[in-house]
Amino acid sequence: MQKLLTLLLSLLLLTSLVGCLAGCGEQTTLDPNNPVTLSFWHVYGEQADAPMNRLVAEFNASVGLEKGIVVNVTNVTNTSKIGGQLKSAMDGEPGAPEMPDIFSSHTSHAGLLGAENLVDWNTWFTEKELKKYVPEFVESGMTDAGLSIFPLSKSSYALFLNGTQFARFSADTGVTYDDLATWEGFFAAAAKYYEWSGGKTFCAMDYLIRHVELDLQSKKGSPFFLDDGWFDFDDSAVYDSWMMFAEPLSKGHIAVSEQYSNTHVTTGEMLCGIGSTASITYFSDTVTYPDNTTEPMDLHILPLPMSGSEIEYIPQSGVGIASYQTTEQKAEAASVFVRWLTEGKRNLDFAVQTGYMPVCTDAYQEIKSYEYPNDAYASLFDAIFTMREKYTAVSRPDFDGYYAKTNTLYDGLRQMQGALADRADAGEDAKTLAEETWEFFKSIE
Amino acid sequence: MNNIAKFVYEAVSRSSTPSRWSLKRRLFSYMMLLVCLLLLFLVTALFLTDQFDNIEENTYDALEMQIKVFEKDITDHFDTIAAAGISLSQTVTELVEDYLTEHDLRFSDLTDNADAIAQLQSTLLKPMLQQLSQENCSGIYVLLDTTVNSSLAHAASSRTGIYLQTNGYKSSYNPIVLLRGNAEVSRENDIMPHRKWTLEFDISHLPEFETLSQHTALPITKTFCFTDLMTIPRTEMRVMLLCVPMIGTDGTFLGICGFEISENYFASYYAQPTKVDHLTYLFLPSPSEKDSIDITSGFSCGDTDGYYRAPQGTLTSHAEGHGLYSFHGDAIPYLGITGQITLSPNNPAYTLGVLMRKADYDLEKRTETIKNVSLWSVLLIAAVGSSYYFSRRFLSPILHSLEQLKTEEEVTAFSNIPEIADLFEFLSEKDRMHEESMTELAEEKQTAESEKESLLQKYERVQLEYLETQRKLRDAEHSLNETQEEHKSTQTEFEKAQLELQRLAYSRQAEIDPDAYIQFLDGIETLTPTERKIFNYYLDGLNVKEIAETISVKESTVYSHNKNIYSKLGINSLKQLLRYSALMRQQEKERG
Repeated sequence: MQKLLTLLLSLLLLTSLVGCLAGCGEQTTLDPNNPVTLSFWHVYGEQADAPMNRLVAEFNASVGLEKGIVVNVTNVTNTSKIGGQLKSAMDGEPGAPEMPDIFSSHTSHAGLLGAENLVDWNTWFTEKELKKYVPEFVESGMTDAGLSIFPLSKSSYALFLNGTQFARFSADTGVTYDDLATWEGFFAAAAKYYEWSGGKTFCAMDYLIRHVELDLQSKKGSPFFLDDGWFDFDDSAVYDSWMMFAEPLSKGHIAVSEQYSNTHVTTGEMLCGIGSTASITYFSDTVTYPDNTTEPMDLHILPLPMSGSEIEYIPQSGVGIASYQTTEQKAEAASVFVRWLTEGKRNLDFAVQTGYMPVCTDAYQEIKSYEYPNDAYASLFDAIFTMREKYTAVSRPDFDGYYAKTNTLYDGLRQMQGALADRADAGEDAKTLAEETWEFFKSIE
Repeated sequence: MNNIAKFVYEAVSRSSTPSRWSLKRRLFSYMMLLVCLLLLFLVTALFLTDQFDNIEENTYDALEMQIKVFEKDITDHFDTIAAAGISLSQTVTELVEDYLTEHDLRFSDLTDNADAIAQLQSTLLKPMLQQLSQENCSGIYVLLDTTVNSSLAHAASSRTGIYLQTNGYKSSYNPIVLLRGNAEVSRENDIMPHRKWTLEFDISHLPEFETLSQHTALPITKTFCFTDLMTIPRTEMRVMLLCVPMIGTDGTFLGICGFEISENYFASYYAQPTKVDHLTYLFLPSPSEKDSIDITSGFSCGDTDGYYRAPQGTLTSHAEGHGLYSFHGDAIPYLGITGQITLSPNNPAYTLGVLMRKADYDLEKRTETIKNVSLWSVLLIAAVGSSYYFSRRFLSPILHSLEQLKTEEEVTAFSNIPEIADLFEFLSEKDRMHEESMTELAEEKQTAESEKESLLQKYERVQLEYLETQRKLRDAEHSLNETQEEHKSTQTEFEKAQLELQRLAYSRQAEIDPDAYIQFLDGIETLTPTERKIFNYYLDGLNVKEIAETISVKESTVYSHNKNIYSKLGINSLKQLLRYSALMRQQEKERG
């Protein structure tokens, strides 16, 4: 009898222990019967509702449904604006929408919003899990408060050309794609195109200042920013790099894009554009001219032109995902969503569809054998791999107020560039005109 | 223990035997019966006043209220949009005609005239921007029935115009972009072309254009309509357009114009305030099949707390009673209601729906059931507990008092309960009176018994003497009969015996107080018939017990009569009565 009692007691204890261990292992704040809603602001497909929204819908219908998470996209914007919008929302400014639970974010936004207000992803991801991501991408999301920005995708810049028109231009002038490998060849081609087309601009550039910075870095080989993140205008190298771009700009050979370079290419206004690799999703299949005639785009994507220095640099940008600190349940839900979003195959699909580089190390193993949607995507990733193999990818250090200064610069140049080109056409010295832009550049503090 | 206390205790003891209900049980049962009756009244009252929570009805009421608010929002908004569209049509028509007049052109002269179209678009752009900023919509368009290049292969379906759009999200940053129209003109007004921009509209995607072009004779207030939900070519944006015809003063069809409601805008603008969790609101063209709704054919939105999850695909519905329908087909089963709404005379009715997650409904139902069961259980337990407690509390002093009665020899118990205290006092008084009565009775009995004994002894002695006398008399008579000769002697002996009897009576007479005897004789006349009867029985030799049996009264009654008889005759004992009676008889005999 005593033996039987001992056996029963042992079984009871064992069952309790196993139950406790199992329960402890599955502790979660999520409840499929009472789903938590995460509002989400992102920057993927501002004007086209493209892949990210589809992924969100897929998540909601699968893992979200299973675990009790509903992700609701409440704003789609762009990388240069999202910081200001987040700040307005956090400060509760009149007319500002509610602060989202998760959002696309630069590391600089963590400073703007306060890293302590953001979820530290280290709390929700194990070291083993984080090892699945490209270490430098993970490192780029670190702040004083931990891993505030989780890597999702990284982009660079590339040269997007209207292949149909370039073929005609090439046939008439002998300029080839290979000539566009260096800035020197690129500007020469731009000059020829200006002449060949009767005064049309060759290329629209989305982020002109970044090319100046990269040229400067390739020449100097070291960081060159002042403490406030802006330029040392007493440095002659800064002047040289600026003037390298300012002169073709003053002649009308290149231009700062009105907003995105792809629209200039799509309207047939310019032959090519330099912008984010992610802009591939926004290029049309056809070019539409003012008389409503159209022709196939035949989009060709090339690596960025280089300065010809020993070490060349390419930009690396792209936002990650941050989560605003509210409740533990929302933080857990955000981690589930981010984990799902960055899983190897899904991250690769997303990266390819959006023109980004994946952040999972596994994805890089598969990307070379990946079946791209069309030739344009194949040429984009050819260009990306060429750049990553040959050049060094660098992220610009984040400084508060950087985007405000660059926006001021671009707005000023947009207003100046048309008149400068007209004056150059009228015979004024291009260098003198370019120095006007230098003076304007220097005036931005 | 005194008798009354014993009686009460025994009564209580009898009542606590298993065959009968104890006071506790009886009181508890009555209280429970009272509680049950109260609960029954409460349930009946709640039922009659419709206070019982009925989840189905409550859910239907909540959803019905939601759908009414949703319907009003949509009706008001689309009505406003339609009015603004009609106003836009009139404004644009006026601007186009002014431009044509100013440049001495006919409307047909615009075809293939890119410069004139660009100028006209420049004229229209600012009023359109102003209108877009004023109206609750995600886009505005003006589609003119002309093209910049009629020689193109697709010219038949290509029409010029301007289409301005925002991305539809509620945001402090929501730039306007040009989806259709002259990019150069828009840039001059700081409007950037959309990344999926094209110069002209493809009206093959907009059948309403052709339809409205054929109804130029009717006023535009009668012909405007809304498109079905459509996807803008080369994008994934799903929108609904208001189409208002623009008719020139000469009846020329100039084109159509209107506003856009995009899927994103609908989801943001129509998010509904609600206290019900996880609601999804649907706005769909009326389904061709009654029991199924195609979610992809319309818009949907969530609540203002941020929840929004659009169901996928086609849902089939089944009636669940109380006006509720279940909807299946999505990964999540729903429960909800639908309604119909008409937005314009030229569109069929639309279907509105409010869906809640079936899991939420089931959870609410379970919670309500548990709540009800818990509530009634608590009430029942509280009722039983209270009944038990109060019945114990009420009976405890009574039982305690009874226990005191059981254990105490005399009723000296004390109680705080006035009624029980009175009972104790009453019992105590009764006890005291009873004791006194018993003492008196015992004393009387003892006196009576001793008197009886004494009288009996005397009576027996007299009897013996009488019997001896009789024997002697019989001996004398025998002697008289035996011998003649001895007659004289016998006569003498008889006379001697007579003398002896006389002497005996005289001797007794000498013992009696003459005055008392006279009072005795006088008192006989004053006796009541009953007393006289008892007096005579005494003279006949009966004792008290025999007399009581003879006249069928209690002995105590005889004793009571004795008292009166003694009082009236002036004697104080039966012995004295018998002595005076014997003297009285002797005298009566002597008198002959």
